[in-house]
Amino acid sequence: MQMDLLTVGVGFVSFGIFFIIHVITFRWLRPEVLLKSLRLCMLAIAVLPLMLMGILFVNKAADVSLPAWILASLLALAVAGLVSLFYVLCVFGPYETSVRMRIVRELDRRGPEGLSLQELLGRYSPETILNIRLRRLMGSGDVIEKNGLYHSGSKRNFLFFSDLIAGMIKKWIG
Amino acid sequence: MFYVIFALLLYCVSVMIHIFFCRKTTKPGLQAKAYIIIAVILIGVYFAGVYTIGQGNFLDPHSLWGLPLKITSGVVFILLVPTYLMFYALTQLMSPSKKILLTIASQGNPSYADIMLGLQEEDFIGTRLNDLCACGCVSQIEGRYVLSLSGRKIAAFLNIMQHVLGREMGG
Repeated sequence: MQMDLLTVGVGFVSFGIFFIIHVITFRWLRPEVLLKSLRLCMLAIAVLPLMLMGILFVNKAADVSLPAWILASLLALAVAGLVSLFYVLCVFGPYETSVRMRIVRELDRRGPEGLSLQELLGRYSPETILNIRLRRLMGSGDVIEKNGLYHSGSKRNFLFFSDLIAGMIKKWIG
Repeated sequence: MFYVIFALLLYCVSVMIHIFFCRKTTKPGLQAKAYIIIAVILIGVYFAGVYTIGQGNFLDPHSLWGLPLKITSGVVFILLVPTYLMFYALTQLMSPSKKILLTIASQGNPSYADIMLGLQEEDFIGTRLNDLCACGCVSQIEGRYVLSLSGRKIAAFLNIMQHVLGREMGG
């Protein structure tokens, strides 16, 4: 039971540390460095639970064997990683990138009068979407611009990876 | 180790049942609710199984195989549920960033105008606005779009997030 609670605790504490760093530092980030910074943060979150479990192991926080500590460390890493993934994809991602959320905020800004489609497009148009996204994608190196033409940068980005998994699920669903 | 494998197996079963359900159902759209129900039932099965095994003393808690990481394995199972749902939702959703990357990948070296054309084809703002109206977050009154009560609640949450994160509107 003690090892169990330690493992879950380390996972959530690691996410807590990630969240505090994220809240403090991300307010100053420009959109073009957002994806890169997020990747760095996710890498840091992978090291943090292993480090915390290492400290607990050295201090003999629980009387279990070394393989048990290794297994618990991997599970703490899984917990921290999954909570962070959930936060990034379900909370921070929609806040930062969702078209729906942006529309809701534009309508909220206008108040009870609301907006006509033309007024909304004046505030938030496909051009705005493209400019914001291109800045973000070029900043992360996923898209490269040369002489006014755009080409793919890194193919190992999260969008391609998520598209691959979604494609597999789609294939199974039929 | 046993509890981890048990939880992961039940998670795989939940995904397989959901895929089977999606293949058989005639209902259009995302079947997210169905997966949540399946997952909740199987999480219940996991905890019932853990309780039964605990009562029966089948496993040696001092061995690696029987190491009682019951709560951790359950938490991993619970966290894997939204992870699957996120990827499942992507089977029917196209994000602007994905569309930009796909346009670039399919056209080789497109210009800004080419990418814009691809983006306009999808009509991201129109479709999202219709979705918001369909789910009751936005109402259309005399040609103007207004937030409903649920839409205002979402906006209030987003405003709180802006205070916490200190970031301007994205999109």
